[in-house]
Amino acid sequence: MSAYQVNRLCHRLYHDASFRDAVKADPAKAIADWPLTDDERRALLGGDVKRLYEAGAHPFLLGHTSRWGLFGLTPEVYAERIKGAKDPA
Amino acid sequence: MAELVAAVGVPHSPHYPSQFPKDGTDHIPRTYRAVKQHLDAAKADAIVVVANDHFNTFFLNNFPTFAIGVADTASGPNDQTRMPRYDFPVETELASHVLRTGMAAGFDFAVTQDFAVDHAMLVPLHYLTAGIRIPVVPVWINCFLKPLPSARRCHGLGRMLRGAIDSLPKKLRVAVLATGHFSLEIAGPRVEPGSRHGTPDIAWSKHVHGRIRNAEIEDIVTEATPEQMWRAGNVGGELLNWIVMLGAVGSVKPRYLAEHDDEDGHAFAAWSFN
Repeated sequence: MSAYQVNRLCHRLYHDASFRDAVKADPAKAIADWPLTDDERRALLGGDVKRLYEAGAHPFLLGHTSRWGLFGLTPEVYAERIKGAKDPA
Repeated sequence: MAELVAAVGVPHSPHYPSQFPKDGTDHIPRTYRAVKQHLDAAKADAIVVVANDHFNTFFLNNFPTFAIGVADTASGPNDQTRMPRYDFPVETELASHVLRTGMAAGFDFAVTQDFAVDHAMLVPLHYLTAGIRIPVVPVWINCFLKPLPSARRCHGLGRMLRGAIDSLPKKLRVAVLATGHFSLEIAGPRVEPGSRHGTPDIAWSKHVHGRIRNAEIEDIVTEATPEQMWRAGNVGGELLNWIVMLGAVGSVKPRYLAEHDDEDGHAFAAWSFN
């Protein structure tokens, strides 16, 4: 996965309050129309930030998820899960 | 002719304005005020701000390595920073002259004529000016999306910037403002447990601070390899903003340098010329 769409989605989360609210209410439904790979969708919905980071999601964009506890990611959960993630090539 | 009358370097953390009132007694606003005194004394007519965008002005669909804003006015913040909203003037003549001088010298800026800016420019301007009524020239450096421009290249850009200031055929007192950290990780693998940030290489930050104190600029340029800046955190590259400013300043010791804070990988410094 190139993670470009994941990055775009995280960017939208930060700048678009209505999209953010939709993700808060029903994450799977809110991102259903996004052109993500199955792998990306699974990782996002599962809050697997390590996997997304290693795939190329930029931390400044990915990190927006934990500002509002989206995809189950509180700052504590986020910090714990991203620990040990390898830098993408 | 225009002239460089001051240069300052400060951090730009987005949580500062909501946490620390400008006139507050905490260390952060007091240190901004110490820098502001030097800036005020220089009586600048314009400020060139050298900072990095955080995917708020630009995005991955088209992310510039070096960019400059050439417009009559701009505004911000265009991110979620809790701070006053500002509309501010741009020093268009100087911006255009830097753009043309850069192009002739091989620095091919991306140009935006319609833009807003994020906390990296606005937080420092909020603390260092009275309502940003002074015209600004925004210069963006890519400090956090690999591959970064080299320290050598950024230093060269700063030297070019100085040449542009010195050759602008207009009476104008110009200050250069660089913003950012030397060591900082945001939302990456090296954050502190339970936190959104970390400081992975405080020793490097302290080392750079010492180099600045002694005006050992050439050493900073040599030592600030991509690997070293990355070791210092995923925004360790913000040192590049400072290196641009140091290129404009030359090997001159700062008139003011706050003691290094061993918790925070940043610095507050001021140069003035008269």
